[in-house]
Amino acid sequence: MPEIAPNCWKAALSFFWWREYRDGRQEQEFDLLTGQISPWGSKTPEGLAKVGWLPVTPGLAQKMKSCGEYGIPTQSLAVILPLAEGEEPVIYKETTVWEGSQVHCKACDAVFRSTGPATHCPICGAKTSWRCPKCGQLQDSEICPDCKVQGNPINPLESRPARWDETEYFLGVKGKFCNRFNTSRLITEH
Amino acid sequence: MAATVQIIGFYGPAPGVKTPLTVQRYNTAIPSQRDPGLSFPNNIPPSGETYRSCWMYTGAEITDGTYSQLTNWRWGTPGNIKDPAVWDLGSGKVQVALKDTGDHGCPVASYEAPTGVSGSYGYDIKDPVNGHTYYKGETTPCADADNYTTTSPLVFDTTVYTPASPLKVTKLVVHQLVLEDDSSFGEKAEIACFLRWQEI
Repeated sequence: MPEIAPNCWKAALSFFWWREYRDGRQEQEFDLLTGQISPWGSKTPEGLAKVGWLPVTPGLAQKMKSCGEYGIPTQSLAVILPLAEGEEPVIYKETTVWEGSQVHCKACDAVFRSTGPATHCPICGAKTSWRCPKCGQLQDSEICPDCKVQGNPINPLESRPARWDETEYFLGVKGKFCNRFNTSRLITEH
Repeated sequence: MAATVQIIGFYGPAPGVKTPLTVQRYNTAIPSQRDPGLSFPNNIPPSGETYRSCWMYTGAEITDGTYSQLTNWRWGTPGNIKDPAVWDLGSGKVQVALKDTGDHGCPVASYEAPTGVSGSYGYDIKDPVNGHTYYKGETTPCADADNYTTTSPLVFDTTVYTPASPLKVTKLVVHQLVLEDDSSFGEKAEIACFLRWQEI
């Protein structure tokens, strides 16, 4: 997600909203020709037959950028919901901004995110160990079990503060169900 | 519809200075600093006592962007701050202020400068005399921040913010570090907190 200033966030979108009225009219968040954005509106309009989220294409992402918006193209399918008469759609996206750590494993060179002190590398399993100053062996405990002396800690994990975001998209019918999804999964909640 | 959202804190004497957050450090600088480094540390109390950091305020400001509504602002932690492998707080914790009814966040207009003894400890949010006016009379005690995770975050502001809203700063989560005599001494690693909102 673009952090456009220190801890100033603007969601990068992989999907944009789309809606179709019962008379056949269609509206969507971004103009496919210009990338210009249209707000959903202060109220959900009457007479909707379908609502959904359409995937951002590479071409649209470029046009969005020229309008100051950020798009992440995805090959995911559109998620569209037909609405029966009287049904009220639930449609929004949810952004979570994390303040955590980015960790570099000096053992395998992996880089990963952590929401707390990293205890081990999830890729290679490396973790803090202690080198015994007497026998020189690496041990899993502070005190060398053979020499009974305090070892020197060796931490293969370098952490630095990092911030990142996650965006999920919601689509459902009020009082009935809601689909929660992103580019890699879809969960239906009742 | 993407709004531009800045994570903020408030510091100093009332009405407080709104400050973009990159990192926020629990400390005992009265009245409050965002990150005084290792100055004004939190101290382990003598046996049988409890020490606290000064109050911390965390919220968000909608600074720009095209959107219709932003609402349902939530805050949370990894849920394991107290653990021996994390901050090893013993029976201490990070506590967060709650209201009996309505949103748990503190309106910006109700900001109060943290009170306490600079360099030693801050007063409890709920202290009957020196506590936070917006919270100290509430029946509901402060909660353990470890209870608020990605699956059960603290809803601190349900206001619906629109482009027409005169104030685009959310209510503020009020939290503080609580140290008991069995909390472990030493510099602590950075932990991750999150802020979440709905947008259309």
